[in-house]
Amino acid sequence: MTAGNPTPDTTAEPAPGPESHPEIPWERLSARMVWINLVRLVISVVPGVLATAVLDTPTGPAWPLLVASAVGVSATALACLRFLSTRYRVTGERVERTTGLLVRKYRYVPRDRVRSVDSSARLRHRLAGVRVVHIGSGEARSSFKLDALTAATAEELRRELMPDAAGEPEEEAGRETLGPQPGPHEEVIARFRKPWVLYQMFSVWAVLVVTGPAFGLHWLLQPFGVDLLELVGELVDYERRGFWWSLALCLAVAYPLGFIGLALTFVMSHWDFTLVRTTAKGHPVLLTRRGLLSTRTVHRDETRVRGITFREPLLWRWLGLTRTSVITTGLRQGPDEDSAAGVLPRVRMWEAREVAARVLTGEPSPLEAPLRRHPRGALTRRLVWAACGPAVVTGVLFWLGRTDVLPDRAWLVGVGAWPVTLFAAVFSYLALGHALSGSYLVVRRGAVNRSTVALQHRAVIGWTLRQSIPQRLGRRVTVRIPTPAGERHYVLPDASTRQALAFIKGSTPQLAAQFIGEAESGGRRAAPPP
Amino acid sequence: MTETSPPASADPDSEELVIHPPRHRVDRRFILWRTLNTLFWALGVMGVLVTLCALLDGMRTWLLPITLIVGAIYLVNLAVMPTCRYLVHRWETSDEAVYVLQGWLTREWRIVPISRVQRIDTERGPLQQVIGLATIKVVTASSEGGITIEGLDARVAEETVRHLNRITQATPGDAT
Repeated sequence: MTAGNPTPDTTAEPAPGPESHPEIPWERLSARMVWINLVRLVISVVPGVLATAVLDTPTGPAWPLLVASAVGVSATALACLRFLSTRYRVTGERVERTTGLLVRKYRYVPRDRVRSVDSSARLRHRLAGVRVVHIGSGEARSSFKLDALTAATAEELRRELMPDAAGEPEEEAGRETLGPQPGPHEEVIARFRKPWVLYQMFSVWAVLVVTGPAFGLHWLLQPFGVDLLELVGELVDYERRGFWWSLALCLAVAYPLGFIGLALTFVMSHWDFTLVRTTAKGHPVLLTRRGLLSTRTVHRDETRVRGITFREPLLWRWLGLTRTSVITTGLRQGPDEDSAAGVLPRVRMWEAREVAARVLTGEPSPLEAPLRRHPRGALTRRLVWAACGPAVVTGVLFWLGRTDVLPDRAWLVGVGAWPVTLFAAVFSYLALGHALSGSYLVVRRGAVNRSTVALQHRAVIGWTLRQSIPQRLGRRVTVRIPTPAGERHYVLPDASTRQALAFIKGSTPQLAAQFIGEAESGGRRAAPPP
Repeated sequence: MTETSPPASADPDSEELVIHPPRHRVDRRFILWRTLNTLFWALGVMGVLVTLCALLDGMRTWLLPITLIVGAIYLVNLAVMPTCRYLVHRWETSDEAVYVLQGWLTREWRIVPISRVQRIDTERGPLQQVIGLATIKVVTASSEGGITIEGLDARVAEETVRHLNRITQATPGDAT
């Protein structure tokens, strides 16, 4: 029970450590990775050599190229070191890995704790026919990856750690070994649809897709005497148009390119996306396969699924889009789409709801449940904060401006923040909501990044209620819901006391009986006089 | 979009529910401990601020008001906070749950069912050892879900922890 302490049931087997089970040999990573890294090394060094040695006229600063070469060299060195120093093996109880040349580091995951075995491959891995295998235990501290194993070994390892119930066909001709595996019985929950590409394209950050590589290219070309900035300046006629018009023009070009870039990235990573329910190790498993060139498969033990989250940043909410992830004990949950918890890319809300209903089977989907609105006091509180915050900032900035610490006009920033915060307050209030539906509780919150969480009652491991002075006067309370799954806690802000207590009682009646009672029976456990 | 229903008036669970406070007060020496604790912090922080004010002329224009404000906050904290907290703080352990009420301006109720407890320890800082107090720490699978009960008599704390450890071992549950 206590993590880290040897418990009686583990005494039968040797304590974890590199010395246990001397009879089981340690395996090496695939040597092919070393070769492919050497090729990468050559590619990264060539431009630097060309610029300094062959052309011999470094008109611009050559250091970006040197840095790039140095990065390439050290990456290769690291890869070689990794190959030399990493050993892994699978024993009866554990998957183990040791790394490090000077200081040997030892990590292990008990086999019954293995929550996910994913394999991923970048282009260079594909060329070498190797895969990076991620072994997830549910804790970041003990999860590890093996970079890299040959595709066949990776598949063997995956099958050993997460065996499917029935045997599978060895390999389809022309198909990826690690890719589609027609399992025993597969229920398709979601499949790639072409409109999805459209949904991923439009992002505020699309411009970074273009500007990032453009600056990289700028640094790369500088040593060869090509100044990309100047070139762009001439192209947009910087002298004549001035700064703002030039910027607008650049953005007008960069954004469409960025959109296309995002669409391509999405197609590369999500082509052939399928989310299926199948069985592995006798457990139901939610399995995702996706990717055009690099196939990624993610297994999620369905017995560990505790709920589902919809995440809708403001812009997507207006477009009716949402990202969907499962809440599980084990998988790390992050905002990035690559985290294994994400079960769907950005799709339309109705689609996400349909999928959610099919993922959480057995009862009407909790995410369809009508949400209760929170009391008006919650709105008032948000508006007051939104009004006071910028006011205080303005005051302080004004005073600092007077005392010559900051420029005189700095206080205008505070004034400018006013409409933003007021709108955020209203959005934040409108986002608030909660409901109880079957064996799930549902909470929704978030002004800019709205998230709707449906969590099983059994995943609730306690309650925290907070009440500030204004909340006490307004009879409201903020409920925090600790859970071992997902983000480790979810928050239900500013519900009325009555709503909150009914919510708690409805989802964990047994625990609620410990500290919540009806007003009439007050004094059941009245405190003794001090 | 799920439409939200009109606010609370249409609440079906209209039975009036109330939170029962936990049973026990913390030890009286809690006030002394909290006061000393605050005093040490106040001395440290104010010492740094005052020194900076005295040494650096350039920053004084804005550092002096900050120092005054922080000083005032510490004064209030020293005078009122420990007693207020003592009056609010309560704790309770039963065979089913650990339950506390803490805070002074903002109140906080925390409850953890025994079946979800992973570990229970006592902790005693140097100051607590001198005064004879102890802190109970209850750890769960969620970092948010833990409970600390400060300012218990050391003997009471020891006994409670022993009792709780006995129950947790007897209570089935995977603690997650």
